[in-house]
Amino acid sequence: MPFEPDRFLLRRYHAAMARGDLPAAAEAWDQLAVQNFDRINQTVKLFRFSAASGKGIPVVDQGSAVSEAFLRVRAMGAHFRKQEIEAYYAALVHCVQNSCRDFGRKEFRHTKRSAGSLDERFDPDAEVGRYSGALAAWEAARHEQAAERIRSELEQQREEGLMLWAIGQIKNDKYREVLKLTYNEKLPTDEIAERLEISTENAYQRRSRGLRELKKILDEHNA
Amino acid sequence: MSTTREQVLSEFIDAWNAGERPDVDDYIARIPAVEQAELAEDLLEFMAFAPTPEYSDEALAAIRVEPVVAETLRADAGRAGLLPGLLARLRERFGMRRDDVAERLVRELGLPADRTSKTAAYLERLEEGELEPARVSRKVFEALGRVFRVPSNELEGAADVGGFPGSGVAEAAAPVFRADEDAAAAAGRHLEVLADALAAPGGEARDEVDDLFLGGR
Repeated sequence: MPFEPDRFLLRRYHAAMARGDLPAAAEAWDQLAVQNFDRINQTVKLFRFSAASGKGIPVVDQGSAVSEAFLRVRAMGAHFRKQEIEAYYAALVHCVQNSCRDFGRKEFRHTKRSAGSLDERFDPDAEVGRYSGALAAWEAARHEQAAERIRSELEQQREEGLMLWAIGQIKNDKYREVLKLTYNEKLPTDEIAERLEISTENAYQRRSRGLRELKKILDEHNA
Repeated sequence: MSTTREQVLSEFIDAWNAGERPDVDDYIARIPAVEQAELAEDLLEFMAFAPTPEYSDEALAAIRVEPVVAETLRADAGRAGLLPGLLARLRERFGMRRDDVAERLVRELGLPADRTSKTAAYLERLEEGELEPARVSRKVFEALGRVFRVPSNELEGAADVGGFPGSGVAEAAAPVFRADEDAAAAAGRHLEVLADALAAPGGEARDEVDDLFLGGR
C-alpha cells in the first residue's frame, strides 16, 4: 500500500466510521499505525522515567515495550474521536509514554517513592495527555475565527494544523521562518540556509532555539 | 546549547523529514554524555509533532516486515481481536499468573473469594481467544484496567479491533432451505426433546461471574 499523508488517512478513518464501514476504517487506521511505527519506536527509545535520573527503558526491554505500545496504539482505533492529525500524534505519544511508565512500574516495584510518582501520572480516562491544553487553545482559536466568519482563513488554518498555528505564535521572526521551512516545506538545513542566506551553523541554531520556543508555547497553553 | 548538539538535532530532523528512518540512539551517541539527556529531550519534543515523512514504497515495505508490526498485524486474525495478545503481554510484564489476575479481578469486582477459580477459567478463555470479548461486561474491562493500570478503553478497543469485519474472512450469507410439506411433523418430535432439555434444571446455576463474562456490555 503506497504512502498516503496521515491527515488524509485520519479523514478516511473518520469517514468510514461515520458510514459504519468498519473494514475501511480498520484499513485506514492500520495504515496510519504503520506509517507512525518509527514515531512509536523512537519515542520508546527517548522515554525517560524522570529528567533527574535520565533512566530509560532498558535496551533488553525496548522491543517488548515497542510491541505493547504498537498494540495499544492500534487498539485506540476502535474509538478514536479526535479529527486533527496533531491530536492523533499527541494521543499516540501519550499512549506510548503510558506503556513505558508501566514498564517502569515493574522495575520500581520496591521503590515506594518512585512507584508513587508513576502512579500520579496515570490517568485512565485521558485520551490526550501532553499538550491537550495547547490543542484546546488551538481549537478555541479556530472556533473564534469561525464565529467571525473568516472562512478562508479558517480553511487555511485547518490545513496548516496545530504546529503552524503554534509556530505562528513565535515572536522571533528568524526562528519562526526556520521552523516554517522545517515543518511545512520539510527543507533540509542546507536549503534553509541557502534560502535565508545564512550560514548552516546559524540555521542549526535558529532551528533548535525555535524548537525550544515552540515547546514553551505548547507548554504555556498546557499549564 | 553547543553547536554540536544543535547540529546533531538538525541532522536528525533532516534525516527524519527525508524519510531515511533515522535512529535516535545513533544521533545521541554522537555527542558528549553530559549533553545527551538534553538532546533526548529535544528529540522527543520534535517527535511529538513531527510530520510523518513521505515514505517511499520500499521504506513502508520495510516497516511492514518489522517483527513487531508483522506480528501485531497478524494478531487480529481471530475474532477475539487484539485482546488475547494484549492481556497475555500485560500479565507477563507484571509477572502475574492467571490465578493472580483472577484473584485481583474478583476483589476489584467485589465478588466472593470462592469465585476465583471460575473467574480464572473465563480469563483463560479470553486470553486464548475462545471467548468473544463482545460478551464481556464493561465492568470486567474496567476492573482489568485497574489491575493492569491500563485505560479500560484501550482494552475495550483491543477487543473491538477484532470486531472489525473484514479483518478476517467475510461472513457468508446463511443458506436458505425450502421445507418439505411434512417438515412440521418430523421436526416436532425433536423440538419436544429440546424443550424438555431446556426446562430441566442444570448442573450448575448461572451466577454473577457468568453474567459478567457472558452478559455483554
